Amino acid sequence: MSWTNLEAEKIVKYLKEAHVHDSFPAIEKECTSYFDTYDMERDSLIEEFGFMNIPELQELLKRKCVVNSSVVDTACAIAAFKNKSEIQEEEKTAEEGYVLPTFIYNF
Amino acid sequence: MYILGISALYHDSAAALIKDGEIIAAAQEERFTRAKHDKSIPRNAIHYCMDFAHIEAENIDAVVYYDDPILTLDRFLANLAVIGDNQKDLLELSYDSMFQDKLWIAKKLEQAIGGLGKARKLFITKHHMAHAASAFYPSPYESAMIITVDGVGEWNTTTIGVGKENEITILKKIDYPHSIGLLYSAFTYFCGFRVNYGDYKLMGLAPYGEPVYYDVIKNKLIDVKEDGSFRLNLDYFDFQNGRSMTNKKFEMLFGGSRREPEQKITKREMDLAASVQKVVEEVIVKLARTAKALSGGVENLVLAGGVALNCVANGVLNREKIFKNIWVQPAAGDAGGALGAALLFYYSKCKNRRVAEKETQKGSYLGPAYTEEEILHYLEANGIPFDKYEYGEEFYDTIADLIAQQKIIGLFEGRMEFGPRALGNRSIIADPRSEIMQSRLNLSIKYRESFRPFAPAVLEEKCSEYFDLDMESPYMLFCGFVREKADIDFDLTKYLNHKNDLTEIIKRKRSAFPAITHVDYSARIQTVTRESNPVFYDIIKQFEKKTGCGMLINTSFNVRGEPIVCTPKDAYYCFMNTEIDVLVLNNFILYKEKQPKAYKRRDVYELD
Repeated sequence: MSWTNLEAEKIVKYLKEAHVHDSFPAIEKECTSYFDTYDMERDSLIEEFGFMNIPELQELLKRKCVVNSSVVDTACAIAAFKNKSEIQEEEKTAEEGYVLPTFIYNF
Repeated sequence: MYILGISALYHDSAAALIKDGEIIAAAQEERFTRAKHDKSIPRNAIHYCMDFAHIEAENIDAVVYYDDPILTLDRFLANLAVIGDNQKDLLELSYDSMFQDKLWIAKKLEQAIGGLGKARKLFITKHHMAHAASAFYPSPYESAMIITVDGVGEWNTTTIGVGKENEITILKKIDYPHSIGLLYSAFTYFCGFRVNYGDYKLMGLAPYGEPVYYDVIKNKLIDVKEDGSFRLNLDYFDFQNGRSMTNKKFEMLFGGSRREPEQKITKREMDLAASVQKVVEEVIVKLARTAKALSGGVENLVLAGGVALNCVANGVLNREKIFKNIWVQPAAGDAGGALGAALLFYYSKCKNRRVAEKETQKGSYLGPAYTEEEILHYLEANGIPFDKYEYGEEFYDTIADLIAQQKIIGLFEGRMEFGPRALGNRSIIADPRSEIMQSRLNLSIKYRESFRPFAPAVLEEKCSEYFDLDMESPYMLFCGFVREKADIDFDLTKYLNHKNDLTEIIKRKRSAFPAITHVDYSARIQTVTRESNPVFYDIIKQFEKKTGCGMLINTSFNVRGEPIVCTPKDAYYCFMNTEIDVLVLNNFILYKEKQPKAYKRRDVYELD
């Protein structure tokens, strides 16, 4: 199965619906600093990285991301598992253990 | 305890192996695949590291990757949400990279390594934590302030942190899309050089220009606060859309469309280079002042991230004396992330004790070496004529003589360097006193733009005699100024206004060492000690005995677009296909005129 325009359009559509961002922060002449604080609790961790199935990837996305929308996360997780014939067994496991949202079947 | 660090899938893939905290091997994948800035999974570099240590996958305690693919995807999605009409194109363009490569890094590395070590899991660090670790842990300091600056890694583009003993704490950050690295890349692109390939060319071009666009850049493109934090005005850039770096508005600001690659360089490009260089220097200095203010009296600064390879800015930073000591990771770009990831795991995750030592980075001579037997076998098997020497005075004297006779030498010795600079083991060396050597090397050996001068490798004890640099610079990461300027009446600005011809300018003698002296009298200095590289040191020393000159030209052993040579075969082919006169392969000397013509072969490398 190949990546198609239709599938790209779906991710774009879900992103728009998620109202993630309208813009990046812009220049503010009045402020004195653009520095943010680095979250050492979250951002400095050395972690184990891996996922076996779509729900595990969704969970990672949900936990870490600014773009936090279950619809977007699921769309991305599905996109990641496209063209991965070598992990069909893991996908099967995913399907057994997780009820996929209906829109996935249109994806 | 073996820890394998990996950087891959962005640019400059690399592997680095540490054993009980000691850096034992590191190399960039490009050197093996011969594809410059290769971003593929570094299979060859990984297996070089494992072979060096005589270990298999099951002997590795942890495999650590230098970037968090989830956060990178997050930034990609957020960017996608913000941009307007190009979302679908960008998504299609990036699908393989985002969804089929980066997210599957664990599987890809497992396949490449043959397992993920004893842990059977891939560990990941954050991109800028890996840069910070690559800067702090190999530095000779117990404690130091840390600055990382690059294009982007996950969300971050700039951080200020502090390292103490075995711990690193990041204090402040700036996030995408506000990036000094991307600003510099935008100008690299606009001036007709390749992004990620030609940034150092823009830096080399800057001294020819005047910073006449400095105010325009500051007023229109970037707002820099007193603490060094900044934001870009995205109205002028197009990198968010993935189409190009700059847009029409940027073109209008600077008088028309970008210079196309290989077109003649005009005064506009020189002035743009000078202007953006001045802005970068200002930001770096202000960041350092903020780091100092946060330091609580720490006198040491370490840097990494691609922008830390800007040796002109590093030179300015040194002259400002904000910190007493500065150390820059020689593989400051993404390749060094592999090393940082491994070190971070060892010290921060495993809580191992760290003792700061001077030579932890081992001169960055961390790549493959070839024994005398291996080289002899290669030469004999291919019927290549050679003269064999023992290491000693006769050997060094012969090479020094050849250099004094204006011969150009390909020098292949010991372990290959880790990082973008050749530091004497995969170098082309020549006489810096020659008035024609810069043009000759550029046009007939390197096949590159003729405007860039070469770097001097100088005996450390002689450095202050020739240059105003008051520090060690073993990794060619600091610029200083030549002390003795030529007695010539030469006004660069007037010359450029009338002639606009770089090749005429470089023919003008600027100092007693014209081949290494830039038009502003600056030089990109490598200081050499016998401790760090005895063979290279003794060659320079012998040259000094003969000529009174304690330095040589040192440029990387490659042609334009080609990665630095890795093997004796790479070196021999480069030697045979350029006008290099003599090749030194360890203790074997090969003369061009004695070589069989059959070995001439032209490898075609894409111009960078």
